Parts: sequence; structure tokens; C-alpha cells
Amino acid sequence: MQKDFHYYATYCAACLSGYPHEESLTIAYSAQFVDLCSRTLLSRIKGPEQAATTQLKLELMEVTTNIIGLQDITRIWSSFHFLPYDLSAEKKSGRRYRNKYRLICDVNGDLLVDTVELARGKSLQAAGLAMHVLADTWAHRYFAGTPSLVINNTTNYFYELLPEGEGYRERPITFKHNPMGTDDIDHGIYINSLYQYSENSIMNLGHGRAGHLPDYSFMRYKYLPAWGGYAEIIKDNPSDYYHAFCQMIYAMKSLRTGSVFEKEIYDTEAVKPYENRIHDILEKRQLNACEDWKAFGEDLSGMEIPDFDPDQYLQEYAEAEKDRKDDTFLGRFFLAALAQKSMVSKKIFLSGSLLAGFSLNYAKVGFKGLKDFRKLAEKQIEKMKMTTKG
Amino acid sequence: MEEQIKITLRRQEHTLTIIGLGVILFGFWSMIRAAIEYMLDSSMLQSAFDEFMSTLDPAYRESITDFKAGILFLFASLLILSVEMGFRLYIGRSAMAVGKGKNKSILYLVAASVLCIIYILSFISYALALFISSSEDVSLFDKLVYIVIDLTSIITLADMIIAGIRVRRLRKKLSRIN
Repeated sequence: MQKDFHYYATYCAACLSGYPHEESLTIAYSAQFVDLCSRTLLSRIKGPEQAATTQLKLELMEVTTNIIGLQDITRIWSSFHFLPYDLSAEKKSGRRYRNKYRLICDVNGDLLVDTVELARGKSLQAAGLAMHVLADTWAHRYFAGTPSLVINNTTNYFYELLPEGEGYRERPITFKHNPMGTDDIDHGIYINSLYQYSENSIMNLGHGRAGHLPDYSFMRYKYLPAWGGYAEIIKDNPSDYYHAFCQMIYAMKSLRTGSVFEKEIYDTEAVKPYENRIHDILEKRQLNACEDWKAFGEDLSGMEIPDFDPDQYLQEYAEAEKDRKDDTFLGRFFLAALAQKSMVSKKIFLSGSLLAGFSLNYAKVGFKGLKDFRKLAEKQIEKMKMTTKG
Repeated sequence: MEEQIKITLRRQEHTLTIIGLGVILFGFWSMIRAAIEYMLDSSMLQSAFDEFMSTLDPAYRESITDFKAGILFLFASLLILSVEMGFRLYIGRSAMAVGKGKNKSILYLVAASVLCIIYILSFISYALALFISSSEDVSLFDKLVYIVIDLTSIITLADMIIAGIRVRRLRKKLSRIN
């Protein structure tokens, strides 16, 4: 998904779930910041490297696709953008393929519940991060957050479904590899990543082979995913995005009120008065729906939504005292990111896969591993001690 | 049910497309291999030339110069290779077109069957030659190589014929359902 949904639509969902304007802004900012928190940004403010929630194109170009590099990529992309649906999925295949197959993202997985529950009782930044992950499960369905040709590749069988009368007209999609180009939605010419026959090529990460199509709310298309065994997938983004929106409202209500979060529940009641307007925004053929979502959000709250400023909180973090950094806006975000990455990586490791590297149970063996996670481990140990004392 | 038929159809169409490309590429490889064989093994080239010359009228054979004979031999070789290549191109391109849904002809299957039979006969002859040693024009190693190549071609062409027939049947089935 893009800024239009992660920032503005998340703001709208937060408002509808009962959060006041300022808190909705914090949640929305955090949701969008997941797409910007790279190692490059973190190095600027001397933040914890392991809190990176994305990788820039330049960073990906420099990454080596050896086992260490692949694990690093998988940890980031599976934790924040392609949450695995079923880490125990059975597939008649070799172990290597099965482990990658299990990383395929889809909606309403058990990890989604874990993600929302991880944010419970934590900061608004944690809630925002969870909403980004939730929303991306809808947009990035059927792709995996690990470089894999046999999972993420697509073929020439790629058709856009354009509404016509009661049904749809199929229009073949033409993909071109032009990093500087833009998508031509009128003629069905889109940019995608270059075909690389190497299994672990960066070009085969996530939905690169399908270009930006999963991130456009108006797109409906059908294609043959590499993992599908020639079965056709029909992706209806307007419907998926609508479900994502309703589920975000339900999730944020759950976090705010303390009610249980369950899978496959969508708060359609809250959006009923605005259903037509939301559908109009989602179905409108435009590369960027920021203006429409912003207008909707401002109508909802009656307040102005500032444009997203990626540098807004950098100075606060950079100038804070070392023992006060965790209390800054970004400090809370980084803690949430470390927690999410740790949780997902651990689940992947426990499923028997080393695609996200090793995961150690610090309660049993004490803290070992990457130093950035020490603060997370220390907070958890402190919490456990307090729980035991209580 | 319909979806399952479509999945199987797509699989067979993909097989047809890939094998069609393989048949074309194998044809190019055959031409390159023949050229390399002639260049590296002068005795093979000489024996092929002698065989060609023996097909000409003796009186005509006496009247032409070596250079002219060489040119004739070259043209004849290129003609034979071109015919074989053209045959393969037709089979391969037709298979790819059928795989992509652009063609409904079955003539390419007949052509593929003919080519498959030729390879089977070649395979049998080389297999027998393993046990029946004659003038030993071809070494044991070469015989084994030719056997492997012929076997690969037989399997590939058989796979294409089966896929072609299946595609035809599945498309008929789908059109009946729809």
C-alpha cells in the first residue's frame, strides 16, 4: 500500500474507531513511517539499526544474497509488509520450497492476531505499526517477503479486469522494466521488476514482479502466481482495501477499549454512513488517492491533517539524552518495530525455517544476539519480574 | 470441475510452448554441431564429401573441378540442414502458437510424429551398432552420445505430441461446458 492508505486512510480509520485527532495523527504517522524507516534513516539519527522496517532500493542493490543477507531481508519484509499467513502450511515438496511457501502473505492469519495483541497496552506508535502490517496483509496477499522466483514470479498471463456493464472486460497488462518510468493506467502499461532467473535475486522479492498493482486501490486483475500450480488468482483491490479499512477500525477499537481481537471480523457498521464515499475513493482510477482520503479525514474529524513530513520527529530523537531516547516519538516506534520483528522472526524460526535466521529464548538462555534487541529483552525481563512479584 | 480443467489446460499449454521452443533450439544446435564436427574432424568431412560425390553421375563427376565439387557439396549440405531446420521450425512454432491459443492446426503433430519416428529408427540403429561392430566408422563414445541425443529427442517429441493431444481434448471439453 501507499501513503494514501497508510497515512490518510489509517487516520480516518483511527477517527472512526474513537481516537481523538492528535492520537489518530500519531497512529497514522507511525503507520506510514514503517515505509520509511530504513537503515539509512536510522544511521542519520544514530538509531538502532535493527529497528529498520524497510529497505530502500539502493540498500537492496547493495545487499548480498548470501544466507545472511537473505535472512536480513526476510526478517524485515516478512515482519512488516508480507506477514506470513500459515507457518504450518503443508505442501508436498522439499523442505526448502515448503519453508518459502509458508511465508506467503494472506489475510486473517494467526500472526495477524499476534501482531495486534503485541500492540495491546503499548504506545500509539505500536498501534500504528500494527495497522500498517494489517493493511499490507490485504494488499500484498499471495506474495512472500523473501526473494524467491518460485514463489513470487508471475507470467505473461496478467489481465486487468475493467468494469463493463454488469461484468468485467479483460485487458492484457504489459509490464516494462523502467525504474524511472511511471505507470500508464489508461493503456495498461505498468512498471515491474526485471525478470531474473536466479531464485534469490532481489528482483523476486515481494510483489516486484507484479509492479505496483497490489498497491493501487482501484485495480482488479487476474494472474497466475508461480506457487499456484497454474491456478488463477483474481485480485479485487477495491474489495480488499475496503475489508482492510473495516478491519483496521475493528482492531483499533479492540486496542482502545481492551476488547478481544479476532480474525475475520470487520467493523462495517462504523463505515456504513460513509460507505459510498469510501467505495468511490477506492474505485477511482488514480495513482495517488491522498487528496481524497485527506478530504474524507478532515470531514470526519473537522481538523486539518498535516502533510506527512518524514523528518518531523528526527531531531527530537537525535537530540534526546541517551536514557530518554526510548520516550521520544521515534523511540517508541523503534521499540514497537523491534518487538514486531522479534516476534515474527521467532515464529518463523519455531516453524523449522531458517529463512529469518535464528531466534533465541532469552528467558532461558539470557540475552544473546544482536545488541539492538537488548533493550527489548531488558524491558521484557523487567516486565516478567514485575509480574512475578505481583 | 471447470476450474480443474482450466488448470490442466494451462499446464499442458505451457508444456507445449516450452517444448516447441526446445525443438527450435535443438534444431539450431544440430546445425552448429554438424558444422563443428566437420571443422574438427576432417576425416568425417572427407567421408561425407566422398559419399556425396558417389551420388553424382560418374561422367559429370569427372568433368567438374574440385572447387566446383566443393561448392556443390556445400550447397547440398546446407540444403539438407535447412530442410531439417525448416521442419523443426515449423513444428516448434506451431506448438508455441497452439500453446498460446493462436493456432488450432494438428498438422504439426503429424510432422512431430514423423520426426519422432526418424529418431526412433536412428536410436535403434545406434543401439544395434553398439552390439554389432562393423567398419567402426563411429567410435563407441560417439555411438553412446548419439543414443543419448536421440533418446532425448524422442522423449521431448513424445511429450509434445501428448501435450498437443491433451490441449485439443481439454479445449473441446471446455467449449462443451461453456
